[in-house]
Amino acid sequence: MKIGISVLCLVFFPSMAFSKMESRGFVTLGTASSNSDVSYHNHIGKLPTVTGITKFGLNLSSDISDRWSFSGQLLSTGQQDYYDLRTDWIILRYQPLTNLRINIGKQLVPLWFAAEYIDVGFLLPWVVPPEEIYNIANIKAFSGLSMNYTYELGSLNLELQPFYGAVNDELPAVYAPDGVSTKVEAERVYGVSIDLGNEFMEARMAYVYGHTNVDYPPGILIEDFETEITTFGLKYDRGDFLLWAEYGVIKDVSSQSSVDKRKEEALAAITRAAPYGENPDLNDVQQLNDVTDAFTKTIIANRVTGYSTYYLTLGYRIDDFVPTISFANLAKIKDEDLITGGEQSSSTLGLRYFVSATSDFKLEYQTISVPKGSYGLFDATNYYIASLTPGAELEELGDVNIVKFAFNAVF
Amino acid sequence: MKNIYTYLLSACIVLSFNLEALAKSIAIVTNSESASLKNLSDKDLKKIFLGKLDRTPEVPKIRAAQLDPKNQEYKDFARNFLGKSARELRSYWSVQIFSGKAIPLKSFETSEQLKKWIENTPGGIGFIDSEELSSDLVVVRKVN
Repeated sequence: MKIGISVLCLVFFPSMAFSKMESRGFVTLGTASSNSDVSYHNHIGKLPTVTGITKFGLNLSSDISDRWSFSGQLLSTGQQDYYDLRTDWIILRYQPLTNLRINIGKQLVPLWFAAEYIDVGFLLPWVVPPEEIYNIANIKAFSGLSMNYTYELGSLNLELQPFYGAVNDELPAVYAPDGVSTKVEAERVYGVSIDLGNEFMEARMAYVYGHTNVDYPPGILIEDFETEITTFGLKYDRGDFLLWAEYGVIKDVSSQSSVDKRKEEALAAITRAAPYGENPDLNDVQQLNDVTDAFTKTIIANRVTGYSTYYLTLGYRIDDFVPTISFANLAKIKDEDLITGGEQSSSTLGLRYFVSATSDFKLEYQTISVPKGSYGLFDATNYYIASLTPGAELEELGDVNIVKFAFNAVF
Repeated sequence: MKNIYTYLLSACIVLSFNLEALAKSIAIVTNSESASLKNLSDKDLKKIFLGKLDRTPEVPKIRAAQLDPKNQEYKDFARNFLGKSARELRSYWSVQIFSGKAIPLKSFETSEQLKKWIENTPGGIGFIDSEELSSDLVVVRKVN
């Protein structure tokens, strides 16, 4: 991949001297485990997993001329049995004015505070960002154009970042087995983020629209999926006290014909699975596939009708220690449209210990509460199938406890 | 008892003098071609070292550099000029770098290396111990 970046730059900027290249890196070695039989987001279950937590990144950047520069980042994410390697983002940057930057290339969608450095564990106050809010968009990066314009408003700094692009991405599926990807295509993604703040405080608002086709494993294709996400955030970090809070709303704004099509597909899948009754034979592959297909399509047909979500994290520094407490919530906006829901709330106690100025340990204890009839961010299919197993007592997830641990460093 | 207090007071005074001595007087320096950077306000100079200002009408490309963060000068410069702890400054730059918003400042192990680079780099600016100033450098600001 490094070769690819170098070739790209050499083609467009043959005079670029790679001896001027700056490199930085980051690593997170972590694991998580829960007390539930139903696996949570990123395969967290009773068996400790590194999936989605253990990461290694390499950041390369260089000035090309007085006005042009480039940056790129390779990211390797730990799966249970192997490491996935991808170009996380790569940007060619043109800066015609000191307060105006034009970015071309694959970029991370600036949806949340930490969206543009979400994989750099050392820069976050958590082991992983609150799943309730950082998990609701299926678009992480886009290829296209963005602009950063900064303007001073007295002692405050205003930054506007409009963007437009397309998506053709494969991300490790958070519920499917290792090695399986969720494919996301979007013919157009656009939006804007607005930041207002100073060195210690930041208020933020962002809007993103995406028209996507999503191929969820195992082969559940959702076409013409149009979503709007609006987010608001407040961050304060001064002295010993820190506060992060964000709120977001995601709405399905697909055309009525697309919604009707998804419902028809879900109905057809339910019809195919109906003959098996309430107790299908899960050892029969055909029955298992049909039931899973029906359940998944039903969920997806309803899932993103609308959710609101928020989190609040408070922390206090005591020398090299930072204890934190976080509350997060994911709730559907309209009850009537959802057969089953992904609602949940969680509270998390965390402790961060700075080993040095560039490395830390973090330990978290999270309690997730899932209301009756909901599967939260747990593996819905896994939940459904497990609930059919004779003798299983999984009809309600109730409260689930998760322990997460990570070592983070930047270098 | 009075003697104990006297000893304790003396020890505190000696210790505070020693801590004072540890903090170095810092000079922000540039080369003669970029001497106009002397006219910038403290606010604009801070922006340079935070990656928010990269040019002036007289200097088309400002190239800021720093001493490696393990140096005492880095800590003193961060605290006394930028108003941040060394950890906060490194964290700030990590966010800028890993979000693709800025290219890292060039970093040097020693003052000698940094001085040589500033002398030979158009728009070069950095900070060193005031006691290591040389006649080839222009002092932009002294930071105590």
